[in-house]
Amino acid sequence: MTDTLRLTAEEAMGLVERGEASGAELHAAYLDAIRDRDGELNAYLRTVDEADGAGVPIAFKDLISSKGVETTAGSKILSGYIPVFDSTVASRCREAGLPLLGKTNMDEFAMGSSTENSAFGPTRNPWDPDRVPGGSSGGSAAAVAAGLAPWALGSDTGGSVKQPASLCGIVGLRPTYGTVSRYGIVAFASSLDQIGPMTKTVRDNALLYRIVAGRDHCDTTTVELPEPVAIPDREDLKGVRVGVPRELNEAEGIEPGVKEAVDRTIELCRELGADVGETSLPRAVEYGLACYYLVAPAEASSNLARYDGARYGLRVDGPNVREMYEKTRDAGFGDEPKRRIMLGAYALSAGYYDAYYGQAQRVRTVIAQEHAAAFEQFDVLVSPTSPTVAFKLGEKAENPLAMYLSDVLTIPSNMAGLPGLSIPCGLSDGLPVGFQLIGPQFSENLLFRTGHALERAIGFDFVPGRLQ
Amino acid sequence: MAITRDEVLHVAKLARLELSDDEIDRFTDQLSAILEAVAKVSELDLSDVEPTAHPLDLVNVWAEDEPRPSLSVDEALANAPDRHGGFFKVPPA
Amino acid sequence: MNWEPVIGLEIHIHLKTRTKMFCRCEVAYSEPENTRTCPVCLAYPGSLPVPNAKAVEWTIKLGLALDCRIAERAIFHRKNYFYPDNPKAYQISQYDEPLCLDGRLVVPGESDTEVGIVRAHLEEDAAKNVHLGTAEGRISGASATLVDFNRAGTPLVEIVTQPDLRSADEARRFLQLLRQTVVELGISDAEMEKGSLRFDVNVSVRPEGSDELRTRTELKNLNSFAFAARAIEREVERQIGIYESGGEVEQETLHFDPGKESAPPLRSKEEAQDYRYFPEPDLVPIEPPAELVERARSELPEPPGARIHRLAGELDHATAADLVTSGRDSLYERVPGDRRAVANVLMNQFATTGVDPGAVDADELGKLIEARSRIPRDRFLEALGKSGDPSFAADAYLGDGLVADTSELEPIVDRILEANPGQVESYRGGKEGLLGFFVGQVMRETQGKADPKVVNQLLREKLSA
Repeated sequence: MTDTLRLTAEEAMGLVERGEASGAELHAAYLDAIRDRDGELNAYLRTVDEADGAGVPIAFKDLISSKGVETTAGSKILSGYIPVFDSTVASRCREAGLPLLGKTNMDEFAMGSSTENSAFGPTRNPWDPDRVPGGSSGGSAAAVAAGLAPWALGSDTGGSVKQPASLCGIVGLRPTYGTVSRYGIVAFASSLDQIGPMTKTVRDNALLYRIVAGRDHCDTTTVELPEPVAIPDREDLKGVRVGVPRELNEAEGIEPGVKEAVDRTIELCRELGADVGETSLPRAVEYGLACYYLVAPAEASSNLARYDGARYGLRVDGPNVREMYEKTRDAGFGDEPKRRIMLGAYALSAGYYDAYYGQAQRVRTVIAQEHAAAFEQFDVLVSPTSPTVAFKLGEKAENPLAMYLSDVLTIPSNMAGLPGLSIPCGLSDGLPVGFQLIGPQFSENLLFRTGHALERAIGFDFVPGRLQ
Repeated sequence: MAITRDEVLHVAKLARLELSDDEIDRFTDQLSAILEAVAKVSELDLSDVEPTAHPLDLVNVWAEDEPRPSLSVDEALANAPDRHGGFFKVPPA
Repeated sequence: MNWEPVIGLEIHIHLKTRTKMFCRCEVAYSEPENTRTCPVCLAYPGSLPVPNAKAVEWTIKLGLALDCRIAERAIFHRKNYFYPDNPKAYQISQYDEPLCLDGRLVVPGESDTEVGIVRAHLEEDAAKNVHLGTAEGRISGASATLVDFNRAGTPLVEIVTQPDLRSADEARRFLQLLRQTVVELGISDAEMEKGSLRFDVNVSVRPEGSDELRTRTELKNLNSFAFAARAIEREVERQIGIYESGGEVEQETLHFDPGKESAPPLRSKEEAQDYRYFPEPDLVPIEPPAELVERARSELPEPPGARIHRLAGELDHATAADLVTSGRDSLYERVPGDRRAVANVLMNQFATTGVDPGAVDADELGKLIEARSRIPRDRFLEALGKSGDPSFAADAYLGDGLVADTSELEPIVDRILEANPGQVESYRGGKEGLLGFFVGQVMRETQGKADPKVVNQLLREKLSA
């Protein structure tokens, strides 16, 4: 009987290669586990009964278009929408033989940090079901953490892979912008969205990244990887220069338990042979949130304009097409998308463009320059991924600004298009703490190397205590 | 108020969102708070900084003028809430 | 008070690429609805645009033909608005960093008019709406809108002129010249009936000689150059009438009915739309490579305006313009012989034959034209009709070199009849044998060169009159 709780994707691959389990058997085992444990968690929005591949099964966040399988992006406005085409990442997984397990829950249109903004009910954190799994890729994070999928794909715009990975005690990569295709990914903010692997281990993460990454002719914002993905095995950090930006590590709102776990991990870096030093991102952290909450909603206001009831998804009829648009969008969007659409439209509107969107794009350049400067001295920058451990359901739901602060540490490097890896580094009050590693563009191999060495040294048990 | 009720109404119209009175009030408060927070970007004098065009330095990415197969009519209309023969059907403009 | 019209044009041209601007669906002209679509041009969630390289190249070509500066860096912008024919609810277009800027097109005339080209940019066309439930498909009173996305995404070049046109006729000639330029570049068929050329006109008036710019109205949905010229004239008159009676012209858009020219246009005061332009994040900038621009420049044909200028040196301006705009100037330049005679034949008798100028052996045609006074008229036309055949030879039609041109022979016949009134009366009295006498006289007069058949014919006509 497959212990789906503990099985890594790499181990599953081994089982399949040695003929000890078939892809279909694994698929069935996970579907059983989903039946047993997902009622409580609501990680999945739907499962796929037929295993259409002989390899290691995988779950997709529900904004990843999967041909013939309903794709809702967590929203009522796409209820019943069945794509007639595969996203490129889905095609690549298919070509690699990975059977689809199902589509996971998410904050509507990837807007949120807790998965409470899903139109289909929240997902619960496998470590403590009264708490959120993080967001917006909360479903994928919870599925992997609870052994309901050996690995999953999520998406990250402001931190939506890294933060839920942190809150659920798993590994999440937000890749360099442009290394993973966005074709077929329901768009939130085009210049920020990236698909990221969510896995139990760093090696699994590299394996999945290798499958999906690389230039796509359907997405002109993608590039070839400058070097092949290396599956990490070194367990030391000799020669790695680790920078600790004080603004990221001393930001307001970081819980003491989180800081403690992170500081221990930084010390561990030294023990493993890294050169550790302090550095600074003078304005990136202070202005990062404001910059993000102008750029992302602006792009979103335009990307979400196509949801109008005309060609797919929900339609609420009206006497004329304009009223149909208005009624459909009012009924189909939840509060957070509505807020961000209006905020974005405002930031782009005549008279306000220069002060808001235009200015935010300049702040973005400053953020990129500050990171580049830090990378002249350091190979990797580290910090907590999230200021807090998983918070209780409902705690921040009524206060948009408080919710936005969950991303204060993940946003700055995202604005610069940089990759970031979150690995679990310990527990605080029994809940996982995530350690964020940020690198220059195309430094995934270094992030994997660093993350793997730390993971081996830390020995974090990724199976939630209460499920063991 | 960083944004007035009228401005919220205007922006809702631009975005084709039909909001109830209660929604307008609630959103006006929330959007005001958010706008005040994001207006922080204007604290910086960035007159000599170029806006970020793209995270990567890419130019001239395009494709040759070679046709690829199109969807069939039925595939194109597979998700249409309403159709009229091979047309998508919507209420009158 | 004398007034002058101030006219500017905004023209949209379909590029006749094989595929659409941002996806590789084949461009459709009359396919069944929604058979040339894909996730991109249908704006399915997650779809992304991929620019058509040929469309970019052709836009640069057009810019060069219009003497524009090709931008070192051009980007695409999103133009956001809701309408059923706009599936993404934004159109990918260009805003303040277009591909081509600051050009000019000289419209040759009695005095040339230099029309400034503000910009030429690249964008995608909208889908086609059909308004169901009305007899003529007009918007008001429809019960539903049907949408066909075959056209959605077709590459469009938008050309905007400075308001440099000063009469309806000038505007018409500008449009003809622009159309011909585009067609000769091979980038578009530019046919209004097929919808591959559309234009809107901005019209205002001002006191002659002043340089102020007064309120302008926009004329939309004009379906031919001639119709546009008439509509412009009427609008100019209307505006002058308003100013002269002390009123103010209001900014309005006039929507014409393509089916009913006489119908007064619908007037609307279109709310200034807030398009919330921002740079398209799904597309990277275009920095036209120097080799591409230079190659395009070297491939440019001599523009029609320049050709008209050149030919106007040896012909009158109107004939030169006609030759060029009718596409016969290339043949004209190849045919040897008297310039006026060649031009005359090409614009008149040759034009009626429908023969493709490109198929004609210019030397043979030259021979034929030179001998035309010696060939009967109908034979001459017959010869012209065959001039496009590969085996055409003028000699086959020159016959015996007899003069058969009635315009040459008639005066001679008239003179003979005048000089022999007695014989005329006798002939008319019944002595029909005298015909031979008259024929002989004409033959003596023309030294035997007259074609007897024709002479006979002419004499009979005149004698029986």
